This record gives sequence, C-alpha cells and structure tokens, in this order.
Amino acid sequence: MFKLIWETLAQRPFRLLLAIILFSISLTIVNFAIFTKNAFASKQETLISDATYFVDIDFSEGFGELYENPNGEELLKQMYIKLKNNDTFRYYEFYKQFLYILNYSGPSVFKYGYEEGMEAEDVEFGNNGNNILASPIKSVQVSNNCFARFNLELHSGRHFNSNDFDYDDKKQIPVIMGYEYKDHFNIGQELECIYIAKKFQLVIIGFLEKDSYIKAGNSNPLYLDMYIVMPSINCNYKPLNYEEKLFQIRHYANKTGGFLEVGKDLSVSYVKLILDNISSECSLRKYDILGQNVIIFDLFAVSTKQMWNAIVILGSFLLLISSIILIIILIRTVSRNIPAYCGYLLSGAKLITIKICILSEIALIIVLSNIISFLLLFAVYGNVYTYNIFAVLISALNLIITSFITIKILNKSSLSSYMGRQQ
Amino acid sequence: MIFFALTIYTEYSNTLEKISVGFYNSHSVKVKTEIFSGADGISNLKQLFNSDANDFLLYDISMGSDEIRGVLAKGQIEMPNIISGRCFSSSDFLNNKKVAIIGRNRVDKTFSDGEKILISLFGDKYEVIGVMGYGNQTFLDNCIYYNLDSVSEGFLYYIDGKNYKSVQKALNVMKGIGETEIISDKMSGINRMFKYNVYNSEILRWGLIFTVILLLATCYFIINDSKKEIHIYFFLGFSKYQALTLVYKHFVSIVLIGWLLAAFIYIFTVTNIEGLKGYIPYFSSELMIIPIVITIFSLIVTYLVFEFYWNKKYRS
Repeated sequence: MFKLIWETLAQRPFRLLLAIILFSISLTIVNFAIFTKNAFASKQETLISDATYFVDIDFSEGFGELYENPNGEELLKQMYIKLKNNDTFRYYEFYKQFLYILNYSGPSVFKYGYEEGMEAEDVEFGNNGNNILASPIKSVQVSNNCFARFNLELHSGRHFNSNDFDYDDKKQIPVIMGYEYKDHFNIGQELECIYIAKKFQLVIIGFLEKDSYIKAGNSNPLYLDMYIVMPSINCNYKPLNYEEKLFQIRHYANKTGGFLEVGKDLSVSYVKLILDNISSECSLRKYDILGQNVIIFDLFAVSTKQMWNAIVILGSFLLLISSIILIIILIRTVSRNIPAYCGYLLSGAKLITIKICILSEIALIIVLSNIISFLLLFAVYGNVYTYNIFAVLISALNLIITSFITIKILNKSSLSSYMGRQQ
Repeated sequence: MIFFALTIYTEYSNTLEKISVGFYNSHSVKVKTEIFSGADGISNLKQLFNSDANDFLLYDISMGSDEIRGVLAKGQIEMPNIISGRCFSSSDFLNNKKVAIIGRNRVDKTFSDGEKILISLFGDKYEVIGVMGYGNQTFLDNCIYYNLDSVSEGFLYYIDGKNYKSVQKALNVMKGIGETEIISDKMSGINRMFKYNVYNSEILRWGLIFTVILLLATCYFIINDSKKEIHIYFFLGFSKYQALTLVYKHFVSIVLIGWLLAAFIYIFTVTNIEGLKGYIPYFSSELMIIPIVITIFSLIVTYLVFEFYWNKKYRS
C-alpha cells in the first residue's frame, strides 16, 4: 500500500508541493492573526477594562489655609492613607511634576515644554555667589502599583522596591529613566535636583523599555521615553521647619491627585460621594473629579477590535482560497488518476486500499502544512505557543471536507463507467 | 482578489494609524517658528504659498490641541474624508476669507446666515465649507480646520505633504524666510502602542509570498493544461507566437474574470461595510497600477515558462 501511496504522490509532485506551500502559508497567517489578537487583547486590558474605569481626581483647594494650619500636612497625609486603603477603588499615584536638574548636560529634548514649543528656561539656584544652573526636566511621580497596572517594563536595571518609596529626609531617591536617556546617563549615576523647591539627591537605578506608557482615563497615553520616573515618596517624618511643611503640603496635594480605578457597577456620582466623605473626614474641603473614561470613544481601545477583525477577515479569506485550491488540486488529481486506479483494481487491488491511499495523500498534505507552519512560526518567534489549536481544528475540518469530496468522486460507478468506456 | 484583499487591509490600517496620530503622515515635521505671526506673518505666508514648494500642508497647532488647527494647503494633499460639502481649495487661502471644515460632532454648533452655514470661532464667524468624518467615531469628529491665514498668531506648526520631498522643500522655504526650529516629537499613534506595523509587515510578507506562488502556479497550470493544443500547433506548423497566443488567451480570460470579480468585491466592501467607510479610497492610482504591473509580470513569466517548454520539449 505504501508503494501505491508513493507512486500516486510521485506522479504529480509539483501539485502536491503547491498545495502544501499554499496551505502552510494560510495556516501561518491564521496562526499569526490569533497570536496578534491575543497580544492586542493583553495590551488593551491595560488601556480599558471591561470591569473598571478610571476617575481622575485633583485637590483643588487653595494651600493658604493648610499652610496656616499647624496640622496642614497631616490632613493631606490622612487623606492619602484613606485613598490608598479604600476598598471601593484602587488608587494609583501618577502625576507630572518636572524636576530642576542641577548642572544638567543632556539634550534639550528632555526639557519641560519642549514638544509644545514652549521649552522652559534654565534658572539659577543658590546664594552667596555660588549659583548653580538648573534645567527643568520632564518627570513623572508614580506609585509602585502603576508598574504592574500599566505593564511598565525595564530595558535595564531594577524596579523600585517598597523601601524606595519611603523618604527620611536624608537618603537618596532612586529614579528610573525613560528609554531615550540611556545614551546620555548610566545606571548608578547620581543627580542633584530640585523637586517642589526642595533639594534631593537622585540615583539612577534603571531605564524603561522603549515606548513605555501610562494611559489612565481619556487622555492620550503618556510615553515615558523622555521622562524621569520618580517614586511618589512618602515623607514619614514631621516637618522640622516651615519650608519643609510647605514642601510636604504641596507634595501630598500632588500625591492625592492621582487616579481611582473603580468598578463599572459604581457610578461617578457615587464615587464623588465617597471622595467627599473621605475628604470631610480629613477636614479637607474640596477634591474634584477632572474626568472619567466611562465608555467614551477611544481610538486606542477601539482600534484593537477593528484591527483584529481586519486580520481575521484577511486570514480567513486566504485560508478559504487555499482550501478551494487544495480541493481543486485533489479533485483533478483523483480524476486524472482514475485510469491508474482502474489498473490497480484489475491487478487485484481493493477499492478500499485505493481510497486509503487518497486519504493518506490528503492527510499528508495537511499534516505537512501544519508542521511547516509550526516550524515557520517557531523560527520567527521562538515560541511554541504561537501555534493555536484553532488552526489544527481548521486543518481537521479541511481534511474531512476534502476527503468527503474526493471519495465521493472516486466511487465504484465512476471507475466502472471509465472501464466500460475503455472496453 | 488577494491583491485587493491586501490593499483593503493595508489602506485600512494605514488610515487608522494616521487618524490616531492626529492625521499626520509619518514624514511630517513639527517646527517652531514665529515667521507667520506678527506684522510680516501674512506676507511670509504668501511667500511660502507662492514659492516652488508644492503638495504640502501647513498645520498651525499652537492652540495646544489637535482639535482646532489652522490649515494652509497647496497642491495635491491628503485631507480627512469629507462626508458633505467640499475640501479646501487654493482660493480659500490668502484671500481674506474665513472658512472651516468641521467634524460631525460640531455640526450642531453651526448656524445659518442666509445661504451660508457658519460656525463661531475666535469670536468670529467662519463659513463651514465641509464636514469630515469616517464610518465610525474618530477624534476628527470634534475637529475644526480653519484657513490658517485668517488667524496668524501661531508659533508651532506641522508641515505635512504628499511625500518626504515635498515636506522638506516647504521646510527649506520656511528656513529661508526666518528662524525655524525642528521639534523632535515622536508620533504617538496605534502603531507605537500596539506595534501594528510590525504585525502588518509580517502578514503582508506572507500574503505577498502566497500571491506570487499562486501566480507562478497559475502560469504553470495554464501551460500544462494547454500542452496538447500546443503540441498540435507545433505539428501543424504554426509559429511559436501563434501557440503563445493560445496560452495568452487562457491567461487573459482568467485575469479578466479575476479583475472583475475582485473589483466588484472591493467596491461592495468599501461602500457597504459601515466601519470601513472613508478609510479606503474608491479609486487610487496605486490601485490601478499595481494590478497592471502584476498582470504584465505574469505575462512575462508565462512567456518565459512557455519559451522554456516550447524549446526543451518540442524542439529537442
């Protein structure tokens, strides 16, 4: 029987090869479409969740009363702890507060306002004639949970650990630089900066992966390639002087102006009510909701679905064409081989053996196509999971349909009518 | 058909990317300059408009938002899909006019003044000449594009155009007029976020390999299927070119059927699927040129296969 299969295959090797190549490519595209869809879906999850939405909050009360209040900074610290520990929502600290870097020697593209065409001017800090030039550099302050929530990955170095967020007025603050900084700064390099009028020592502990971004709410994603990512520090000490008090008030006003991630079963007005309750418990008057992303059109999220549909349609179209070609090739091969099959029958072969030969040929094409497609995807991505079970199911369906059609052609009547004509 | 399917896919994803970055091409350049503001602003704009730079667009984005922007367009330029009214024409610029193209969501903010439809902008009345939009919601639905010369107070611009060369030419003219600084700002569209371009290039690569193999196979099968006739032609003393005509007759009929079927499916898809409306052009020069190139390539390949077949199989 194997000899018979081999002879059948050897008769038309080009057609066999063509069927295998086209089917392999189609399977590769289908697999790729599914793989792409999964990749998009995981990214989309970080953008817009089916279960939650973001609420952007902001401390909108003037600082004057807090400056006067002996416990002003404590009220904001209480507010922060209540936001952080609230069970109704998850709280993310994420705000943009530029830093003045002292003796900055990098390019101007990192300066605050550069992209908007309003690059902030350098300023001089210091006194007693020892003035130091400081450049305003783009920076974001984030809490530790932002890294997991927004999939922030590192190109090199290490992530923040929980100790990095506690500040005791003495120690260095570790910072992670955006990807574009990697050609200008090094891990371990120390920087001096002014953050909200207070001098800090920074140390670079890593660089973010290229095109890392944070997107919370309806705003466009904020790409961090040109930003210094600083931990949103916790000041676990009482201010010893008035300047420190001012700093802590302004810093904690920033810290409490982050994002709430809320379940979609809760309305914005309900969230506002909770927020008002918390702030009044802390004797703070006003926290505003700046925006929320409750199913408002967002191209970044919607495009995922659109692109997925487009890829699936294209993949399915190519698969349909290659399936039709496969069926045509096999029908033509079987039709042309009828004289040979008649010869085999006259030589004593059984009809079932011939049918098994044809089925083996179809199975061989489909199995080989799957193997080639698997190897191609593995070669490109080095990942066995790129190959999807759906592609195997499609192949099985193709095998059944093609086998059914070809066996239907090759019945006793077609063979006997051919022999009759020849007689 | 495969070519048209690939075209629909690439056009769709390209337009989606373009919308996501604010409807700028990847070769556009962001610049900071004050040459178009102040007393000499209009005369400098005229100098740029009347220069040999062509096929470019100047967007004034000094408002801090992509939604409201001034536009100066010259030559063949690509603007968002217009769903009613018309696009800017050269007479709309530097003729003391105040005209605007608005997004769909701005239509309810318009009002009528006799024959004209107007919209309030910068405390003034602008004539609405067109409404832009796509099959589904995009940020363009909230946009207002006004003729840039009506308010010349800008300092931040995008120079866009038909191609890199036209953008550079306009940029050079601007540099010649006065200080113009290029602002390095990476586009933040869906390609940057999802790496669609990487995925798309993989898909297109495989799609093209698929198409080429299919094309070569078609050539081979046509000749293979015609071999009996070619054989007869040979023994009857017909020339090689008469036999080739026979092969080409088969080929052209297949190509024509393929073209007609693909054109029908293409037009049906582009005009009837709501989500695709506006994303894919009904007609473009590439859409015609590439199938013609493919057909000519196929005819040459068919000829070469035929030549090989005729010389080797029969002459020998």
